[in-house]
Amino acid sequence: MKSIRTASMLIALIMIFLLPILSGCSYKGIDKRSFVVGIGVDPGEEPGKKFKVTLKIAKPISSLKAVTANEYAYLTHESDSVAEAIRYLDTKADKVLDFSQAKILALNPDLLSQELFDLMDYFVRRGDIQLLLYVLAAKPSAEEVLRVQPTLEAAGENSLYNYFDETGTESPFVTTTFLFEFRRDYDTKGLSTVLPIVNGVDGKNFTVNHGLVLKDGEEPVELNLLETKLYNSLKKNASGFGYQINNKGYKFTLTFDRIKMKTKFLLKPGEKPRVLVKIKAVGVVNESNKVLQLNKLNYYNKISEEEITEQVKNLFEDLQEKNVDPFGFGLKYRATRLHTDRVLDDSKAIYSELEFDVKVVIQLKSVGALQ
Amino acid sequence: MTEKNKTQELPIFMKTITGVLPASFDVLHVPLAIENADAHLLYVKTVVDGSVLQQTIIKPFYEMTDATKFAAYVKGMPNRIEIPATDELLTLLVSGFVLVYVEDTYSLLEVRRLGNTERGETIAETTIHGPQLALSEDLETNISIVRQNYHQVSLYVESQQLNDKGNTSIAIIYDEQAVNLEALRKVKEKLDFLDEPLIQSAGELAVRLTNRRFTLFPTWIVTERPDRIVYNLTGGKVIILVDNSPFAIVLPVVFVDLMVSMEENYHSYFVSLYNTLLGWFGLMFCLVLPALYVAVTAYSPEVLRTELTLSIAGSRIGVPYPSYIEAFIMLIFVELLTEASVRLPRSINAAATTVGGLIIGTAATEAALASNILIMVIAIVAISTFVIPINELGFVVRVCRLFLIIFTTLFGLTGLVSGMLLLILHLTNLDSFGEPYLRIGWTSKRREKKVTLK
Repeated sequence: MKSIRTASMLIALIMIFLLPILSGCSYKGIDKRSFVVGIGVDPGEEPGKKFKVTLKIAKPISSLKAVTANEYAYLTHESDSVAEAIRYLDTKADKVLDFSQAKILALNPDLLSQELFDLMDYFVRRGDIQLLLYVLAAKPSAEEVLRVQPTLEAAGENSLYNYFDETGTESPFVTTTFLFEFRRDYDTKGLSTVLPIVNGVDGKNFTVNHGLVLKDGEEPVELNLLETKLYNSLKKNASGFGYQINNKGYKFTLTFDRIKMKTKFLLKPGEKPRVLVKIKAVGVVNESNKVLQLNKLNYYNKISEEEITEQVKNLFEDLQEKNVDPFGFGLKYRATRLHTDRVLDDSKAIYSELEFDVKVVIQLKSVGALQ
Repeated sequence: MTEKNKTQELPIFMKTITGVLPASFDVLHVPLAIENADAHLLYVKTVVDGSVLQQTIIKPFYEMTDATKFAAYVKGMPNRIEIPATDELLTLLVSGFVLVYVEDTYSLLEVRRLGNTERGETIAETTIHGPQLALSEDLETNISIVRQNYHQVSLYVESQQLNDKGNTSIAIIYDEQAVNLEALRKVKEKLDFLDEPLIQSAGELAVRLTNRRFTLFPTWIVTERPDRIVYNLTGGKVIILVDNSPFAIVLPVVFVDLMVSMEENYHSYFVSLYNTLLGWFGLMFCLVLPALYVAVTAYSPEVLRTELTLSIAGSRIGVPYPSYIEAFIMLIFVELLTEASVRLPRSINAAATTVGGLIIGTAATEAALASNILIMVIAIVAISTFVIPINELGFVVRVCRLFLIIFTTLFGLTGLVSGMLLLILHLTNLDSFGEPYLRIGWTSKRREKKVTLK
């Protein structure tokens, strides 16, 4: 009994002394890692190379007070596959490339018209790349967007993150798409994914106010400013400043606090399939070209409703024409029918001939001025 | 009282006793004689209160000048006990009894010189609003303190002596109506079979009362606060007071008891709730934080925000050792500092802490021996250790966090989680005199105190 105890104590002691020489497989000090904060993929420039991968690596800041701007290193390599390119880039860095903090996956729009599964697979399957990555379409190229150093970026922060994590700017123009969402929506039948388009203007600024609708087998559809805003408001419940109404001689801007959209299929045999889209929005008038009367609020509601109805209907029909479905009408159809082997084909067929019955209810709370 | 007289008149029994007692300077045999009365006293001078002896025994003898009267007087004294067996008699003699021989009868009178009956200020567990005085170092004074705070007929005080070399007197105190009988039985059993050559303080006794040899967590509370003693008495716990020790042992305890500060009873509900939570946060912080630092810097920087990751990475620039060695060095340094500040006299204390904490901390970062973040972590840890209300738990936590760091160094965040799991497993395995250690008694303070009225 006693010898066993002595022996075990001895072993424990030896193990403790062996601790310092431990160079375990996953023990990797934080100072021996290079943190990748952005991954960019462009089409290859050299002939025969499919991809050009750019990694944006942050340099650790020893004293935040002493530095004024972030310092980044960029590694690029062209290769036939992303995996190969990243493996090659490993050899260009003295420290382990750590992807766990990478939150930006910038994709060149030229890549997006091809089939995307090949490209996505690597990012989705690699363990240390988080599925919470923000995926974005980068114009003019992924590398240029990653190389943008915004004037307003303080040391220690990453301004591109601020656009998408809703801690910084919150705008109805910005679409946030996570990697898991991107892949799921892209793969789901009856749904299309929307990526934000980030424009790296002259290497000093970003503009993020367009969306790009992607669907497997279809050409990407770029949404304009209004469409992007409507998409974000209706689908992602983004709210905020700026809905222009120009109707019956009135010109005013609405700010919505809440927007809610409900859809319902009305399918009757012998008739064209219709979908009832009810939108309810609550907000106030921000600015106007005329003096607005509080007692005429209902009238303003009405003229706003007319305008927004038209805008929304146009958007739906436009998307329908291009055979993309970011609002997921096809998915809704599939989800609410009894599942048979015809449902999938039906949903495709129905979406192409769907008629949109848009009913917008706007509740203005005030005209935004004191009388 | 000539030399001749004394030897002649020395009774046989007393002679034997004197023979057995060591020939020490303070063993005194005093024959009293006046007119036709005579008596003999045998006592150890240094443990007997001389003035009491003079007032209650010697003076009356000379006033009465009559052996029969004096014998009756002695017989009626309240501190008189019957003569026990010789062995015990000897022990009693060296602990402050006086053997009186008068009129062919022997009496044993307790004229003990009391120990330090002075009540000092609370040192180990200070509160702002609670009682400011701790227990004294004298057993009887302490019993009387408890009694004065708890006027109940059901309060039982059982006195006994330990079989150690010091023959330490102890008192077991409990409220007969509320007490956990099972625990009481176990405590008594344990005390009866106690086999320890020397016990000098309450803490030492408490350690010997457990079955295990290698213990980490205290399954008792050693407290100096009368209010905590009374609070626990009402809750049905057993209190053991030890002579010459200003501390009492509270038994049985559950883990949550160790996290109770008496201050909590003296504040409004939300303030005391906040204080309790603060204590628990402190416990978690000082247990986990150093290990978490190692886990995060060496294994899983992905759990942190990017900004924090980069600034930790930045602050580790130039630090030559891996983070666990860095953490060990700084932790041990802080432990030394804490220990030093306990040992040092109060007047130098502040200087040592300042020099150690501030100057060496700054110098270590300047010299790139430790990262800024680690210095912060260590400082938080050092401070939150003192938030834990019971000192002993603080010591335990200091050991546990080293254990957690080792685990984390080997297995990362998983190691931290499994290390915590092991600790919890260990705690669930423990019991304190039959009471499961991790038991959480979901009851209000009011009901807890009312146990006696059930």
